[in-house]
Amino acid sequence: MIKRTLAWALLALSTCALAHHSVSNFDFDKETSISGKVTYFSFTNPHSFIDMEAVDAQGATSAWKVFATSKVVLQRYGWTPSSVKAGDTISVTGHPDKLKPREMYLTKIRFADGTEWLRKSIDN
Amino acid sequence: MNVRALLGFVCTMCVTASAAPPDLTGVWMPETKRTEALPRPLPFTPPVQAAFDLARKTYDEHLDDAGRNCLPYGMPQSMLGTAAYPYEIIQTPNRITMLFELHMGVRRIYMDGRSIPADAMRTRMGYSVGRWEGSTLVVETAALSPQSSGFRRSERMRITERFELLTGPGEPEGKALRVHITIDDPVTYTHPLVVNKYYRYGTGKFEMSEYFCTEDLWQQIYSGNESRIPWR
Repeated sequence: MIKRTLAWALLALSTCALAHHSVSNFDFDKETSISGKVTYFSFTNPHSFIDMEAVDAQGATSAWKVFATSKVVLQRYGWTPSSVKAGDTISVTGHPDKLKPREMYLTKIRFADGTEWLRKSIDN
Repeated sequence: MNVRALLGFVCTMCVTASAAPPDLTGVWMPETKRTEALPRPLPFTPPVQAAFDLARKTYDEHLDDAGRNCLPYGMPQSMLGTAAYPYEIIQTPNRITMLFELHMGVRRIYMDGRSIPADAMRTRMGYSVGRWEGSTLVVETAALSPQSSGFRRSERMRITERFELLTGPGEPEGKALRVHITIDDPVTYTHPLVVNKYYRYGTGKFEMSEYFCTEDLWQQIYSGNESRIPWR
């Protein structure tokens, strides 16, 4: 417990422009894109996330977790709780996690209805 | 412009300058372009640096991230955040109230001339008193609870903020706030931290929302989706 409490001190390092909590586990120098079917959408604070079954060019599937910013911010920039639903076919681009090969931080999404949303539309 | 008109104009400027302080009421959104970052690495005192180094060795960004664990902000963090979360200032004669969207934080800045009580309860936001120096709002904050997560601080931390309203054609929304922040905590830092933060005017542009974090987590747990919460 003491160790844990001390560990939180590290947060002093991670006050960054990208989120109110650390997203330092993602590699912001790289981008990756996948397409597939949504299995679960969590429209939540402090993070939102999409679980999806990605299908690659050879037709092989793999389970991905795609993080996005909080629902409060997404809501302000056009999302609704039903922007993404289980069963939707979507395409996403994001910064991959440095350690976990099938996690990323969303920068671009094409929703099931064909419309696109870019993270850079968050204009602060 | 004739002399009379010129004098009239100058006089109007004088009156404006010496009249009531500016009204800071409104929604303010952190700016990323002009805003400054704190010095890196932070100038920790040796004991704090030792604790910090130990923390770095054992840190797990999924388990230990205060934000992911929904640990709310406090001062000075609430004023330092540069992410996309606005706050609202409500200016009334004897008090200035700040409502932060993130974690639903509230600051009350007493403007009635009182001092910070020696026995004030120590809290995350601390106890704040303010005064006007011309058109600059000066706020002193103390009585902060010690914190080793988020933004490290001791009971001796004292924060001075100087709020200036910037107006003119250079401001995209017509006005902006510059906040000069001095964070003095001799237990935690070898010298005071000084930083300028900028906020753009966002009334009518940014709608403030309700931010609960733990509630969402509990809803996931109650609906049997706990295993899906990746940051727990």
